[in-house]
Amino acid sequence: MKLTRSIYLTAHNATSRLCAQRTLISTLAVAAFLAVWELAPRTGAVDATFTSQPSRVIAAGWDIVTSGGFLNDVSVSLAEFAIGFGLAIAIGVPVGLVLGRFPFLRNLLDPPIMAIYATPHLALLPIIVVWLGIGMQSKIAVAFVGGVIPILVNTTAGVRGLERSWIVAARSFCASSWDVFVKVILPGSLPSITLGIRLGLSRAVLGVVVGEMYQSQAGLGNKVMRYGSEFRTDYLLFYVLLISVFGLAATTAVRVFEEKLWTAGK
Amino acid sequence: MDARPELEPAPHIRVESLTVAYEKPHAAEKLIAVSDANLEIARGTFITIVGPSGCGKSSLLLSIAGLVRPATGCVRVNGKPVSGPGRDRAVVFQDFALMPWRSVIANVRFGLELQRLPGLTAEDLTARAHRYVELVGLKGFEHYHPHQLSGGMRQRVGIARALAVDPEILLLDEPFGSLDAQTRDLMGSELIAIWERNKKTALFVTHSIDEAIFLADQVVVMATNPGRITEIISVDLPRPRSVETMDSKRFIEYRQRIRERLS
Repeated sequence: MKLTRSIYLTAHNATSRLCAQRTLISTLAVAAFLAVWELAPRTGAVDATFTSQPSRVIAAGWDIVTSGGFLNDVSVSLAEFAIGFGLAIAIGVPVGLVLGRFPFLRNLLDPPIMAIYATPHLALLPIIVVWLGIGMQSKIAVAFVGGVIPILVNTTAGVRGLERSWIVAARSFCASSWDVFVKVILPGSLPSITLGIRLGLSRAVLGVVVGEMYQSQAGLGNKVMRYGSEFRTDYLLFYVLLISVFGLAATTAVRVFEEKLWTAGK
Repeated sequence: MDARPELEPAPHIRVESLTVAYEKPHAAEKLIAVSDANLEIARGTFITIVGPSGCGKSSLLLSIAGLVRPATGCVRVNGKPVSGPGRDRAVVFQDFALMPWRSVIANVRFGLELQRLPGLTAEDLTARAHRYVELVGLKGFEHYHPHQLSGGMRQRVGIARALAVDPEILLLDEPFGSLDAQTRDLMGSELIAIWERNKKTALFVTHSIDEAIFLADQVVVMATNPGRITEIISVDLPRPRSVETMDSKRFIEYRQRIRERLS
């Protein structure tokens, strides 16, 4: 038994060494990319009008942040995302749990859900704008539609994938239906739920940004579209970078949340 | 309740003309898993149920657990008919049925949390779970997760989880069915050692004849088509038993007798 534990420890040390190696390689790759990007236009090999340069993007970023209106764009986009995606979680998870438990409802709702899942949610943009106008509501709706379906579908799959024996074991200890739900179904389907949330997240971000690019008065997507049509690559890229950073941060937040929940279950 | 001054002590468990049937998929008639089974089990005895696959031995056990509803007949525990799972019974499952997101200690605590025994705080439950983890020889592995354990260790967790709720009756459904032969023998001996300390009533389903004789006070032999009890054999071998017991003349006689009944 001592032996088993020392094997685990050795494996753990090896993993952390591999991890450090991977970080080093990734950092070098990013640095090399930035260097090429900065230097290529200086040699005349490419035209900076099309590619811009890291230094110009940083300068554009400073200009954007210090001039007015930036905070308004950020808060509009963030609010659209937070409300739309928040609703997607608040509705997708409970509905998914219910559908996972009740085959009748699942059979009833499966065709429309699959139809919406197969449809690119961005194709619904024009009609959503017709219904809700070019304000924040239409972006909230697109973010919601994009986010809710993967969350719902994965939650349902998670509940259906639970081992029957876990539920039988709980019942053998006199568990009520509520106990089974709280102690088996919810923690057992948590990996699928968070997977759905991660998948839904990128679709919701996409919905907000493309929605703003399509028809809007403010927001990050609105600015991307504007600077794109004005050929101001450096300004455009700063906004794109901002969106990427946000997407990355949000995905990481979900991962951390997932790990927190997982360890809480111990 | 359990110390009534009667001449003939009432059986702890009484199975009365029990029939268990399951719906067959795509068929009108039902599958009869157990047909008209009758059985009386005295308090504190170790009973094994042996028989080929499909003889209904697990169905019989699960009806006693209250996890399977009988088609006709009934199961009584302490004279009262069983209508569902109860605090007086705990089950050890063939596939362990451990929660993969819970550590060893949290899995052992699982049944205790669900049974909500009055007057026990969260710390009491954890302390009790620790005692049972130690009892089954898993001290030092409290914070491991099931996927980090071998099959034998996982079933130790399953046994600790069942014992932790301090049931009157321990129901074991082919608990060592997926373990290798050596681990199986070792686990059997350890289970008996634990059982001899407090003599809970135990029912143990197996398809291994040797295991059935080695563990039992009484062996219930079942046959298939339809699943039914064909014989109940009292095993008169002294305890504690050891590997040598399995080579004794008596043991071999029991083995022959059961094998004849099974074929």
